[in-house]
Amino acid sequence: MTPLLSVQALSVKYQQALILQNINLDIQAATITGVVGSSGSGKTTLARVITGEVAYSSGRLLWQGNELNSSRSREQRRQIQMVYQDPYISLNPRITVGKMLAELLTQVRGVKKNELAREVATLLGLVHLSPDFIPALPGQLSGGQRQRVAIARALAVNPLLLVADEPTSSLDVSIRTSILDLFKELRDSLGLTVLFISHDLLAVRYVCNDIVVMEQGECVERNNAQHLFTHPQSSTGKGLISAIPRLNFNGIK
Amino acid sequence: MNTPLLDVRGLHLRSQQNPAVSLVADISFSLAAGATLGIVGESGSGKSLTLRALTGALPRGIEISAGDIHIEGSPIVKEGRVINKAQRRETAMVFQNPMNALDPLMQTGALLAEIHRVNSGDSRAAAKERALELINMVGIPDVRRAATFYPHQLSGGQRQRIILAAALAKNPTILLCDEPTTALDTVTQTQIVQLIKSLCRERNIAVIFVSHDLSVVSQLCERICVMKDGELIERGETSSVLNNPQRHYTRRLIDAQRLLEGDYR
Repeated sequence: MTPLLSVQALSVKYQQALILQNINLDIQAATITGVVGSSGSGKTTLARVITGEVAYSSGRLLWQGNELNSSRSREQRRQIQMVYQDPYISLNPRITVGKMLAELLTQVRGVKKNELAREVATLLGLVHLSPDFIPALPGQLSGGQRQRVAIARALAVNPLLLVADEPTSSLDVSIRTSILDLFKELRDSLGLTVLFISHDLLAVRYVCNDIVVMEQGECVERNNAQHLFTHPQSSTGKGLISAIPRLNFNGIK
Repeated sequence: MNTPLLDVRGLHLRSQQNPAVSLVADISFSLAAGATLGIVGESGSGKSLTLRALTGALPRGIEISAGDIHIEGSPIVKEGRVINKAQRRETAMVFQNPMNALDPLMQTGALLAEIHRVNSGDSRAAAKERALELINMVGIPDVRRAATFYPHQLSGGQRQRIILAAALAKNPTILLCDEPTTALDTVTQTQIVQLIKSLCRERNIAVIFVSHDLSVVSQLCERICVMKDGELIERGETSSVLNNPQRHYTRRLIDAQRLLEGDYR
């Protein structure tokens, strides 16, 4: 099966420094792939190369078998969408949830005016928000609700791939799991493909099929999510996993 | 009974714009010398405001409306009024985002030396030496070179180490930590928590560690307070709160974390 996205021997240079080095990565449709690594390992750069925000210096980036270069078609740009870390920053504070989604639906999907209200409600339904949120401004929403709106906005244009860069890092633990469940649900119901970038290894394991471990611009391991935790292959993978803080039920000695 | 190092009684915080609503209501707790206390709760629960009230760093427009705070038996807040600012020197703060907390135009060595000089009255030369000691203490290699770095030349973990050194430069008896590891990756996070633990143990510095990460708190703190909607809803020894939570909300926090940890332990 042709992967949805295929990254082949891809490198990114910035001045003299190699930010990404010989990355090879295939992503199949309707899967969630995690990218983990410490700060500065190149996770976010990889995301930005895929979304087209950063140019690559060598290698290939294939989307459904076709080369994705700096001049992407409108269609290709629509198919790859981004969800950012901080929903407090990524949403325009002056535009209501309804207007934000309606604008995308009319302009990108060509939804007719008389169908707009229903389509906006359907979109909000996908992320488990009621139509009551249509007149709300981002400032009136909680962090979790805002991240749901940000996901709805990405879904408004019918993307095939969501690139999510630390989408749950700014959320509290109890809200975090509900957003993670939402990604899984969207994968299973819409066949959505997700590249999930995070330094939160427990979140990544919870939500992903496969996990890629990065270190200093290189991809040092790719493993099944559960398997990475029980049998990490790379020393970076072992290090990251052994450093995960766990609930300590025994008290401090 | 001995006088506790820190004693907070019936603390209320409110916004000047809307004085009828308490942002933090009726918080009481105390802390012994060298003890470690975690405050957990979601964003907006009032945990950071409570911490800031202790050190006088409340955001503009938010004030103490009632309550008493004593440090080493001396009142610093009495019946809602700040009466003694000097005693606050006993506290030092470590912030969430080290980039915002450091002066971008100041070399790390100069920053630490100045803090030491202001607090101790030592000479410039002695303060310079002390700055190098502090950098060494928080585990940054190549001390002399590191002292010449500006914040942007440091990694996130090193910046947080410098923040910790800046806090220790005041020789505090209480270290107040506001989500100090939230912005860091797991490996760096664990290193910083261990560093806080060992440095404070060696010096008998008490720690209040505010975080929404229950796991990190359980690795560091002997006791724990759970806050929700501005109130302190549960407290106790960390192990007993985790093993036997009394409130539904606390159980939910623990369950959410357990769900993520799964059967992998």
